[in-house]
This record gives sequence, structure tokens and C-alpha cells, in this order.
Amino acid sequence: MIMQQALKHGLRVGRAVVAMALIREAQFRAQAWTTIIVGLVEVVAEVAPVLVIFSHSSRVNGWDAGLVIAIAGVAEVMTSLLATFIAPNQSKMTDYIRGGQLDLILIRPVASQPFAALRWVQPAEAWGVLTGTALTIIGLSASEVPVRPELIIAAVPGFLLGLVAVALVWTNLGYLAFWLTSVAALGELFSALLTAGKYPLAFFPRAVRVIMLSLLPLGLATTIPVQLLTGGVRPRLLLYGVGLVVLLAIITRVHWLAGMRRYSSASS
Amino acid sequence: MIVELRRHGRVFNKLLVLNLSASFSYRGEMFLWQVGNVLVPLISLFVWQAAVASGAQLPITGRYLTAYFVLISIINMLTNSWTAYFLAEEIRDGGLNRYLCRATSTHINALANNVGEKVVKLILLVPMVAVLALVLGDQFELPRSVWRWLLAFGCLIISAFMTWLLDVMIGSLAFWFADVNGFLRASEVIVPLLSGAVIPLALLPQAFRGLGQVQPFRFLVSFPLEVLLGNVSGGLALGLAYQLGWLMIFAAVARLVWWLGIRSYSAAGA
Repeated sequence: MIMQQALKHGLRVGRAVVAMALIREAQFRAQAWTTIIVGLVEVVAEVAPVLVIFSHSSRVNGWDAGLVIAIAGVAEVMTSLLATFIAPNQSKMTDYIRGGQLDLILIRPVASQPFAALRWVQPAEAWGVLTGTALTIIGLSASEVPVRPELIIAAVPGFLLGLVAVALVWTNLGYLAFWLTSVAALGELFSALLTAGKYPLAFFPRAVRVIMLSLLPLGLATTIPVQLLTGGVRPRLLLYGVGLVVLLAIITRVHWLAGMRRYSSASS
Repeated sequence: MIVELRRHGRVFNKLLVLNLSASFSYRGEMFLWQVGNVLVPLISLFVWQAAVASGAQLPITGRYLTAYFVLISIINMLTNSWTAYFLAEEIRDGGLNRYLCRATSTHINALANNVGEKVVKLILLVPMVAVLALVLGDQFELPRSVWRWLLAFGCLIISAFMTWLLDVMIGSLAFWFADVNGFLRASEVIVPLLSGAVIPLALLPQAFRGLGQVQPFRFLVSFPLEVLLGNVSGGLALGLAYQLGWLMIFAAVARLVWWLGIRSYSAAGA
């Protein structure tokens, strides 16, 4: 019963956050349109390196151009979801903690950790979900891979697990602001490293692959879903994703609580 | 004229010292930026090495490719500019006023900031690139000829100045637009792609190679590196002529846009 009430309350807060974001976006329409137009240019920029690579070779480590474009599409969906929900909040983490603005979150009748992580939403960035999905479909069609419904059922949760894992890693980097003067540059570094996600894991040396499936689980969010779609890996691998997300969620919770104990607030 | 130049020079020197000390206080942040500066080209290098290992037929050697991606982080950092955002802010919120009533220019301050930060970034970046070069030591070699290093350095200075002029053009759009972030984001996507920061322009498909040689963005990043590594598409003399030509065009357009903008500036807060 208490759980149900908390869930309902959380949903109400979530609805209010999205509504506020849409109102804000409607206020800055020109900026929203610019984001959408630039998003289209970004899609071209995502695909261009892949097309250049495959203008010199028909296959790279067993991957053809279509499948790599599909991965670039999934990476575009991932980065646009991160830009919509995670990036705007992580960029404020230093101000929250150093400037004491976290006080305003802690005194509200909401669960403070998810609220601090998801309070700000940038709906215009979500445009990349459409363009990324279109890229994925184009890529899969180009490589003539028959996509069966049961494989989609495995790939979508695979992608979501990877996305949540990447988001949790980024959130933990943000919490370092409890200990460091500023984490803005860490966030920028993390954003830059997302580039690696648009290429298959097989393109990288073994050590990098291990990192991309654990510490920086980009491969889990991009390569693995496409491999699940094409039947390249077994759905059993999803269990690893679940395990990683649970582990990261525990670390994130412990990290937040440790940060809270250290936080001295601006007003007290 | 000479007196005015001397005055600007004195102001530049003072502002440079100020920017150097300010930049040192952000050394932690700058260190992380430089880590990103090294890692992103490294990702591209891994991808291209995988392509070569899979039998890709490239018009350049593997050693050139490795040298390109090892050195691109330094070239990228040294030719970078971040003036547009701050210039646009100054125009939008009236901060430009304080420079209009002083015997100097906001551009002198921007240049001093650009050079000051780059000195600090270079100190942080060079050891990282040196470690990378040691790890990949047997996979590439650097030119031994001194004149090539000097010529590449000259081209690098021009490239940095061209990038800064492009930034002045974009920032000046704030004279007419309330928000120039869209232009900034577009340039952040288009310029790296066309300048060779993401893909060496020599690897473009044959159909685009001609266009890649003459377009201005090549001379912002790729060209100094081509000169250094001795692989200038279309020939060295023609490349230098193109770079100087584009420099003059960039300077003329930046000056024109600034002049037109100042005439329409209404000085918020005045």
C-alpha cells in the first residue's frame, strides 16, 4: 500500500516535471527548432565516418556498413535520451552541491535522489530518438538482416539496461561534486567518450572492450542490442545487464548517502 | 598606427599574464579536457586500425594514420577557439559597453584569453601525448627535417587565427540574433567533420577529395598536420596559397560583420 502510494506520488512528480519542461520549451521555441535542425546535421555527422570507413572496406572485423549504421542509430537514441534526461541535471550538480541549491531539493516532499537526477528535462533533445531509430531501421535493412519480433523483444530491454547502466555511471560522476570543487569537466569528458558507443565492440582492443562492458557500459547500450536483434548473441546476456544495473544502482545509492552525510548545505 | 599597435601590445601582455594565472587555477578542469582531447582521436585510431587489419585499402600508410591521430589532439587544442559564446554574451547583455569606452578592444582580451589558456593546456597535454607516442612508438615516426616543423608551425598559427576569426563571425551574429547557440552547435558538428579532426581528409572517398582540398575548414586543423607529415593533398605551394587566401577572406568577412554589427548595436544598459 505504502509502495503503491509512493509510486503514484512519483508518477505525479514525473508528470509535473515533464509538463514544466514542455512549457519551458514552448517559451524558447527558436532554441527548440534550432536543436531539432542541428540534430539532423548531427545524424549526418554520426554516419559520415562510418560511410568513409566502409568506402575502403566492405567488412571490418565481421561487421558490414549496414550493421555499423544500425549501431550508430542506437548510439544516437542513447545520446539523445541522455541529453534529454541526464545531461541537464548532471551539468547542475556542481552548483547544487557547491552553491547549496541542493537544499531546495532536500526540503521538498519528494524522493530527493531521483528528483535531483531527473528534475530538468530537455524535450527538444529527444528528437534524436526518432532520427536514431530511423538510422537503425535503415542500417538493418541495408545489411538485409531479417528482424524477428522475438528478437526485438530481447533487444529493447537490452538497450534499456545499457542506457540505465550508462546513466548510472554518469550520475555517479556527478556525485563526485560532494568531494571535488567542480565536476563539469568530468561530465564533458564523459560526453566526449560517448563517441565510442557508435562503433561495434569488435573494433576495439580487448582491454577497451572490457571497459565498454563494465566501467563505461556503452557496448551494452549500443552493440549488444544490435547483436540481440541480429541473433549475434544469446538473450541470456541480458542477465549480465540486469546484474550490472543492480550493482550500479546499489553503488549509486550508497554514493548518494555518503555524499549526503558529507553535504553541509548552504543555509544551515 | 605604430603607437596604437604598441598600446594594444602592452594591453595584450598585461591581459595575457592575467589569463595565464587564471587558467592555472582551473588546471584540474583543463587536465580532464585534455584527457578527452587525447582519448577521442584514440577511439578513431582504434577504429581505423581495425579497418586496416580487416584489409581496408587506404590511400595513406598505417604509420601516417597513427601519427595523424596521435598529433591531432595537440593541433586541435592549439587551433581551438571559444570566443564566439563569450562574445555573443557580451553583445547580448551589454558587457561590450565596457570595451567600447576603453582604449582597447574586446578582441584583444579574447586573444589574450585564447593564448593564455592554450599555454596551460599545452603544458598538460604534451606529457599525455608523449606517453601515447611512447606506447605507439614503433607504429609511427615524426619528421626529422627542421624546416618542415617550422613551416607546419607557421601554418598552425594561421589556422589558429582563422578559427578565431570564424568564432568572431559566429559570435557577432548576436548583434542580430538573441540566441546564437544554434549556430554554435552547428559549427561544433560541421567544423570537426570538414576540418579533418574526425577523419583525415585524405581518407575521403575519391568523389569528395577535390572538394575536401579547397574548402576552408581543411585549413583550420588538417593542413598544418599535412605539412608536418609531408602529405599535402594537391601540393604544398597550392595548399599554402589556399590557406593565405582563406585567411584574407575570413579576416575581411569578420571585419565586415563586426563593423556592420557595431553600427546596429544598441548597447543594453546604456
